[in-house]
Amino acid sequence: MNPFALPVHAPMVHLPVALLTITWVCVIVRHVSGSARWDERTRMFEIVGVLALPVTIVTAFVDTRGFDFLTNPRFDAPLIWHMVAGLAATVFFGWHFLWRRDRRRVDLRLPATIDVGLATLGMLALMAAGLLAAEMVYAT
Amino acid sequence: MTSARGIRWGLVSFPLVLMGLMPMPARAETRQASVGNYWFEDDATGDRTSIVVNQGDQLTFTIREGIYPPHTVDVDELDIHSPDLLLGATYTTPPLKTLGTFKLYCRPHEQRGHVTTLAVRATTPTTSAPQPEPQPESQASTPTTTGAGQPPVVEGSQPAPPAPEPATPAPQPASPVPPATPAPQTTPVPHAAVPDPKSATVALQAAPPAADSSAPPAPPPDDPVTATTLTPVGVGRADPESLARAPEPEPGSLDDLIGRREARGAVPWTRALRLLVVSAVPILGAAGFSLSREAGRHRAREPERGESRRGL
Repeated sequence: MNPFALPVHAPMVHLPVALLTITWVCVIVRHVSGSARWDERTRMFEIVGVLALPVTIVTAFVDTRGFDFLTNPRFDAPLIWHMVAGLAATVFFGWHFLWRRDRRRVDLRLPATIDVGLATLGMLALMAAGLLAAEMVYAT
Repeated sequence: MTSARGIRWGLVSFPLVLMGLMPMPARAETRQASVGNYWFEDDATGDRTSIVVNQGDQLTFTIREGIYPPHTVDVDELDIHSPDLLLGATYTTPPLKTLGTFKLYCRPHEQRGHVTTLAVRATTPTTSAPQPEPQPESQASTPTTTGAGQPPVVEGSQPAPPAPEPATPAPQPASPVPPATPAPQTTPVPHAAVPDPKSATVALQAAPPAADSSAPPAPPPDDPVTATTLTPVGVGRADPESLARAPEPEPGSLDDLIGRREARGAVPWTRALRLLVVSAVPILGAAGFSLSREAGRHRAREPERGESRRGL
């Protein structure tokens, strides 16, 4: 299934991780500074980061050689929890992106609590996924 | 009088001395090996380039370093294929009865060099019996003796059916066996190995084994009834204490370069969760700070709005 015989998820995952981390930083800076110009930067980083997520997910299943490991998942191993955390990050950042887009479409103010809250939850999920990935890559 | 007594003692003790000098076939045992990233190691010798066992031995592999995809133990020629093995899992092979040198590899990581050599050699005598004259070495094979009265066998040749042996209880394995596995039923150990008569490189030096016409025909080597199983075959769980020994990192590997230390505990990767708790502090701190600044601005704007409303 993987013609390269090398992991393809690992080189790809840096793109959404970096972009969504910068998205979270932009959200924080926007609310600390109060400057609305950070909204546009947030949107630019987040749209590319969210669009890179499906590619990352597909490459992950290329590395695992399909979905067989999901039929009898090992809950005592980090892989399944890495996947859950990555999925949570995808949901939070995807939700954040869509919510921001809808709010801007009707020209409403962005409630800071929801804006920062969704981005921070996504960031925490991203951090969890990264740490669990480190456990797999560097072998406990 | 004294000389007659000495002669009597001599007559009695001489056969005993001869029996002591008789080479006894080596006992089958369960040998231990370790699996890491990306190596196999013979626990007895620490050798990662090859694992050498005697014919009839079993091999228990213990996964000392985990990774995804998980390690496996595979020897195609012996039809040994383990399932995925996570950290702390063990896999015990059936008795290795086929002589030769085989490729032992990890299926998911073969292309990363997770390959070594498994050599199954003929059982060697365990006493200080006189060693036979060294055989002329062939480039393709290395004949070795299997004991008194048994012909040499050649690496790579298929073993003949094991000769029936007296009902000697199988010995306890010399190396520790995972305690989680129940005490196995032992059966007599087949030691004899007769070379393939079709093999042109066999140099027959010793007499062929004495064939007892009254003995029942020897069963085929793969007969499960006669297979000696000291340790249950398949996947098991390693003793946690045995896992406490941190394996030496592969020279030049990432582990060796960064000096990474192994996590401890029943589920070592929960270390990631502890790190997450630590790393969540600055993330939540930054989020809280930004919300407090936003709330401060909001409160500052409220009086201005109130004034503007009053002005209207």
